Amino acid sequence: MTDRDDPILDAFLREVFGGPKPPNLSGRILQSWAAQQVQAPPTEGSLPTNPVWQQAASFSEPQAPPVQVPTVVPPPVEVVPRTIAAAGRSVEIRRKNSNSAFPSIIAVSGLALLMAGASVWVRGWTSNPSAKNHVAQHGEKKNGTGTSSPVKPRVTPDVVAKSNDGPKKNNVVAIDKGTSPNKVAVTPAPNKLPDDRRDFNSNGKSPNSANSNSVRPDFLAANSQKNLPTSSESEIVAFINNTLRTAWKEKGVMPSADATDAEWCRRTFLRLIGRIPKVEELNRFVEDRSAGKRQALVDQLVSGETYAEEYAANWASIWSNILIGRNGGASDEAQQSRGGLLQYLRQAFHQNKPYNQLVYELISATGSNKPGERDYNGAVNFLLANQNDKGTLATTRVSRVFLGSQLHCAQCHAHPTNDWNQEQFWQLNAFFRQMQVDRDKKTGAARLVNRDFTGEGSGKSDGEIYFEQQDGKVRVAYPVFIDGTSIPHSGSVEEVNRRQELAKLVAQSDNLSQAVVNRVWAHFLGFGFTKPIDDISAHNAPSHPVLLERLSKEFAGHGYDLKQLMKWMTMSEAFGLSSKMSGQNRVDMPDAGTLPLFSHYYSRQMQAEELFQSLEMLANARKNGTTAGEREKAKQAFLGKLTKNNANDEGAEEHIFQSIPRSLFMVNGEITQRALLPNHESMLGKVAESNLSPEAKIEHLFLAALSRKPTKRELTSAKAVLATAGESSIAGFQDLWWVLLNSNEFILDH
Amino acid sequence: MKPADKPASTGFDPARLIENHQAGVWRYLRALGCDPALADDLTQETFLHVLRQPFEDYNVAATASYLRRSALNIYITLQRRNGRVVAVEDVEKFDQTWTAWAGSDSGDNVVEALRDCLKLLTERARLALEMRFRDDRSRSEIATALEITEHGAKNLMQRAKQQLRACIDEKLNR
Repeated sequence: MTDRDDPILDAFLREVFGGPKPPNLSGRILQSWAAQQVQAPPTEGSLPTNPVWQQAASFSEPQAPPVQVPTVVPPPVEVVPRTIAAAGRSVEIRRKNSNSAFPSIIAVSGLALLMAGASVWVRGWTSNPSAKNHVAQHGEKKNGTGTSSPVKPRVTPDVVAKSNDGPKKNNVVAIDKGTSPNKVAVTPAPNKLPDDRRDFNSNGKSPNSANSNSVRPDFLAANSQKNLPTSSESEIVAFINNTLRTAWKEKGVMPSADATDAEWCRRTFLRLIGRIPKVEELNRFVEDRSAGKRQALVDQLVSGETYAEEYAANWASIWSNILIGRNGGASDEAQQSRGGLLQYLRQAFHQNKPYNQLVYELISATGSNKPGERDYNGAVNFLLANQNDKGTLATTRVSRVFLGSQLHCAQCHAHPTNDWNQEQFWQLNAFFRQMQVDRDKKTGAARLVNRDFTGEGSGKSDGEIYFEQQDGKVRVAYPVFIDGTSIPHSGSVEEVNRRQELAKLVAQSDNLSQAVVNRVWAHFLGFGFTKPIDDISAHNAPSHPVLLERLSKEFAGHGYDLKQLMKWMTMSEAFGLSSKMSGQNRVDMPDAGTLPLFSHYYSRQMQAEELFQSLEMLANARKNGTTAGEREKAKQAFLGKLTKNNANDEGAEEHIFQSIPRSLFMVNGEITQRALLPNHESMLGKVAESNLSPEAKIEHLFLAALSRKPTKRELTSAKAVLATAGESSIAGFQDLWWVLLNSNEFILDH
Repeated sequence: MKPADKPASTGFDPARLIENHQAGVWRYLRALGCDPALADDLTQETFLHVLRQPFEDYNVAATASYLRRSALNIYITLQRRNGRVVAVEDVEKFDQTWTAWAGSDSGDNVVEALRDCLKLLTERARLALEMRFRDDRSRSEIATALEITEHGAKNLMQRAKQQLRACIDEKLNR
């Protein structure tokens, strides 16, 4: 509980302590309504009757003096406009309320824009006749006086061209430790960015628009230039199946039998929406005799309206764990808001935002983390959680999560097993040096902003950073992406917004699609193509490189559509195999250190969130007298018990799922207790009170917990449990239900 | 200018509807988190929405409830348009509390009860709430002013609010 926990009481307290009181809006409302009626005469019988427009026409609102309405469209009733104080408010609302004034506003605004545009054009033309050419190439930049001028080329002409040959070395000069940084000579910077990156803002919107969900910069959709494949779903699924079959043949492995419909249904629900299926959902699927029922279920879970909320919430939860960890934002002191990030991600997954756009927004985000503020942007919580004094945490997290490259070793020394060196780490890190956090003590908000970075010593605008090698020498670094692409050195935000440039580079990188395909594959199939999944490199080669590459290209070619990617994987043969191993695929045991062959479904424990959500569903908690807030608190409390943050630069967490706290939680935790409540809202209560036979009741409980019917032996044992409590007694069903929920099978995804 | 056609008569008085319920709708929107200007806009929008629909005024409580639901839907739509998500379950609980306190009188009785209940608080508790809700001071500023820890300030305000809730409940249910 906080001191802001009661919005109703808080609102009344504000009023009582002298805050704004309810105003008299009668005149304003009546006049707006009257104006609307004149525009659109009411239908018979649908409206009140009093001569309201007569009241409205004669009404004069003392607080709001009428403003002359332009005569572009003569309003039938004079609309009393808003006061000046309301000028900054929602134009959209005002438009709807005052239909007659709307065309006037458009006309006046259009005229003003036309005049402003003409003015800018004339000034630009007269002050610099060549300006229009520069503008055409580079767009405009505002100088300090507010006048327009073209982008000035850098002093030196050297251009570091984008190259895939590896990182560039020519922009770093070693100096002796102790030498004044001001005297460091550095290789000149490239004079300009490639046009495709500089001019991405061709839609006229602010490039700093991570909080604008509808804006998708053109460069994010430019994959047609890369000749990426866009095969059909059946072709891609066939490619997955054929590639895996070839590997099975090479290794002399035979795949397991197909999973039953019920097994497949259970795992599909778990993987896609994070909970096991309800009995009715399971029965509906199993009893469906149509050939395309698996495809239909996947489509329904991924794109259907029924599951839209659960789908978005599940993937928001998964990605918030990836981005800020399970503990991130859980404490009151944290500057990031887990809720804010979840909200942003829920929205993104609900809209099926292209993955590269999502990443672009997360990396380039600016704004406040506090809901209700004008610049509120939930995406900022990712970098707020990974912000430290030199941005090393953000560097590590971005490279690991989005690029599948573990650079963190290279912060202090050259990577022991791959080609990453210290210089590359700090070059990537230099992209984050304009990032700063403003804390508003009054509201408690944290605001992610970009500020000019003047470097770590020279005081010039080059924004250089220094790092110390193991031999004691200090070297200088400027922003260079991991593929060697560099950007202008300037630390001035107006000249180069480094985070935005990084976001563009990441969003266009081939590594991006490889990293996410590997991650999503591991989510569905149990193991990724590499282990760990966020370390794809020559020293840690993928188990199925051709498949990873093809899926990555198809994913990019299909517009970074995550839902599409999930469909390919869930419809694959490997996802539909039984988890039971046969004598002919026992070598396929990635747990024991072998390369995964995906010749059977790899059983795994449910994730903590999946377990919680499944129990919550079985307890019918949503309808069982608990609020969303209470459920979220209970969930976070549960997750908090199972996760320990290691507080290191990698943001690593220790997952203690196989532990005594987890066992105790299952034995007598709050959510288990709630699932055992025999009231008429809970599943158990409904089954126990139903007219079903004892056998049918037992069967129902097995289906609910394990998605299968009991075996004969289990049925006999279950009847024995009921008999000890008397068959009509609820206690017997509670005992049986408790046993099922505490069985190993229940917590397995198999 | 051609005069508009008159709407059919149903014996309904929109002016009185607005007069009777506008304060309740406005306060409800404020409690949902709207600033005063937005509450003005959405109150207007709510009544315009209701006036456009067929409408029967059964009784004060039902009408107030209908107006609140309309206001809530408009508020949620606006939030979604702005890219924000509203937790509907929380809103439902919120609405229950509102109905219990101010279901039929626009909240005037709550304001009166709250004024009386504030007198029952200790001077320090009242001062803390005053700094918080009148002056918008942060918890740490309140703690400094009262020479207590930040945690102490939090507890002080929590206890005071619990006391106020209990007192208001008692007064309204009497």
